[in-house]
Amino acid sequence: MPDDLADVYRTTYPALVRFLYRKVWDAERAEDLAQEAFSRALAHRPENPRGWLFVVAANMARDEARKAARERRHLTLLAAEPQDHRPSPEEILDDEARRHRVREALDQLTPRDREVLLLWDAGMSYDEIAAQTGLARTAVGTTLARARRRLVEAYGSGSEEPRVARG
Amino acid sequence: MSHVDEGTLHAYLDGELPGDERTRLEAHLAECAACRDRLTEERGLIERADRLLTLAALPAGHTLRPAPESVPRPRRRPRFVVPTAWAASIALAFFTGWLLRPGPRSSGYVADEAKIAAAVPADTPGPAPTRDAGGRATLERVPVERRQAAKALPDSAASADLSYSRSETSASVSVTPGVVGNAGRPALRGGAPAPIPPVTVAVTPAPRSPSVNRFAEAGAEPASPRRPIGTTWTAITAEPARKLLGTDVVSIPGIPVRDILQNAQAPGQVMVEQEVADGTIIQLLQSRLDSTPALTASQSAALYANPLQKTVGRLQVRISGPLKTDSLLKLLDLAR
Repeated sequence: MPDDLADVYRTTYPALVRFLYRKVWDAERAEDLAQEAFSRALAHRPENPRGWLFVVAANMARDEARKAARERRHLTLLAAEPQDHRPSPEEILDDEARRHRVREALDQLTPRDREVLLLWDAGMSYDEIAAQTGLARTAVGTTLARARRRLVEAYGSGSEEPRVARG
Repeated sequence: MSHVDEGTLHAYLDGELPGDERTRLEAHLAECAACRDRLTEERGLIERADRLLTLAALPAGHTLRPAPESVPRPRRRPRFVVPTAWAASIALAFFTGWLLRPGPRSSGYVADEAKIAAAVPADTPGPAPTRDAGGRATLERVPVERRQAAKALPDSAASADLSYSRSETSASVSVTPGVVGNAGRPALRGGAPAPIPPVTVAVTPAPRSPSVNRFAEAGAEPASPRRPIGTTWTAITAEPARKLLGTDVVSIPGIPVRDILQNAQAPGQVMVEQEVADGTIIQLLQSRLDSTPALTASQSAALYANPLQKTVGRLQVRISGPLKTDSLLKLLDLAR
C-alpha cells in the first residue's frame, strides 16, 4: 500500500469500521466493507481519500441494508465488553440488551440525522460532514443537536431505566 | 445578541464554531444565565449521546485487520468454515463410512461392527448416527442385511457404554468400550424435544488418528454437544444435581438450560448444557468439591487440546455450535 494511503488507513480505518458497524451491526461484515472501500481507494486513488472512503462506505452499507434479510449473528454482539474487565454473565446479558436498545434507538432517527451523528462520531469535522451530506455547514450543529436529543430520548423511552446513560 | 439556538451551542461544544461567532457567543454567555444553563444541559446531552454510541461500539475482543497490501480483491473471511475442522470432519466421515460399510473384511473392526449391528433391534429399524462430509451429525439407516446378521449374535455382545435420555432417534447402538467415542447425538433444533425413554448411542471415533480432532467440528455445523470420551451421562433434574454436588449447580443465567446430566462413572460430576443460540451449546462441567477429577489423563489431554474449552477452578466450560470459531472463543472467554 502506498505511503499516503497507508497513513489514511492508520488514521481512518478504525473509525470507518466503527461507522460501518453501526450500520450493519456485524463486526466482520463491517470490516469486509471497510477493506473493500480501501481496496477501491487503492484502485481509484481519490484526491481526498478520507472523505471518499466514507462516501463509498456509506453507499456500501446502504446496499447492504437492502439485502437485510440476512440472518444476524448475535453472538458477535454478545462478546462486547472492555477487555480489561471480566464481565459476569449478568453483565454480558445486560450489555447485549443495552446494545440492542441503542441500536433500536438509532433506528428511530431519520436517516440524515443518523448519518450526521455517525459521521461526527467517526471523527469527521463539520466541514467534512457538510461536504459529504450536502448540508450547509451551519446546519450541521442543528442536525447534531436534534440527532443527539432523539437518540437519548429514544433510548430512555425503552422499557428499562437506562442505567448506563447515568454512568 | 438574542438567545442562542441549540445548533450553535452544539457547534460551540464540539469546538466547531468559527472564531468570530465563538467570541460573540462567549460574550453572550457571560451575561445570560439562561443560556449558560442551556449550555450545561446541552453538554450533558452530548455526553449521554456519546455514551450511548460507545455502548454500540465494536466488540472489545475484535481485532482489526491489517491494511491490504495491494489492490486485487477485498479480503473475505470464510463465513463458517474452519478448514482444519472441515478436514477433520471429512476424514472422520470417511472413516466412519468405512467402518460401517456392510460386508466382511479383514480388519480388527469386524467384531465391533457386528456388535454395533447386534444392538440394533431388528423390528425397530432405527437410524445409526454417523457424520456426513459437512461434519453434521446425521442419521443413517442400518442396512437390513446387517440387522438380520445381528440376530445371529448373542445380546451380550452388546455392551452399552454411553447413554443419555433424550434423542430424536429410537435406535440403540452400542460399541465395545475399547473403541467407544464421545456420545454423538442428533442436533436438537427448533424447540425442546419431549423426553423420550433412555437411548444409548455412541459414535466410534477414528482411533490412532491424531489429525482428527473430534471437537474441531465445533467450528463447522453440528449442534451435537460432545461428551468426554468413555463417560456415561444420564439426565437428572436440578434438585438431585444439587444434592450430588453439595452446592448449587452452576449455570449461566438467562440462557435456557437444555439438560442437566450426571456422570454415571463419577456421581459427583454434573454437566449443565445450555443452548445459547440455534445449535450453539455451552457445557459446564462441575464436580463435587471433595471429589477427585473423573477424567483420565488421556481424556483430559483430549479435552484440554480443544481450543473451545476453558477450565475455571473446578468448572470446565466447553462450547460448540455452528458459529465461527472466533465468535465461539469470545463467548467462551466471556462464559468464564
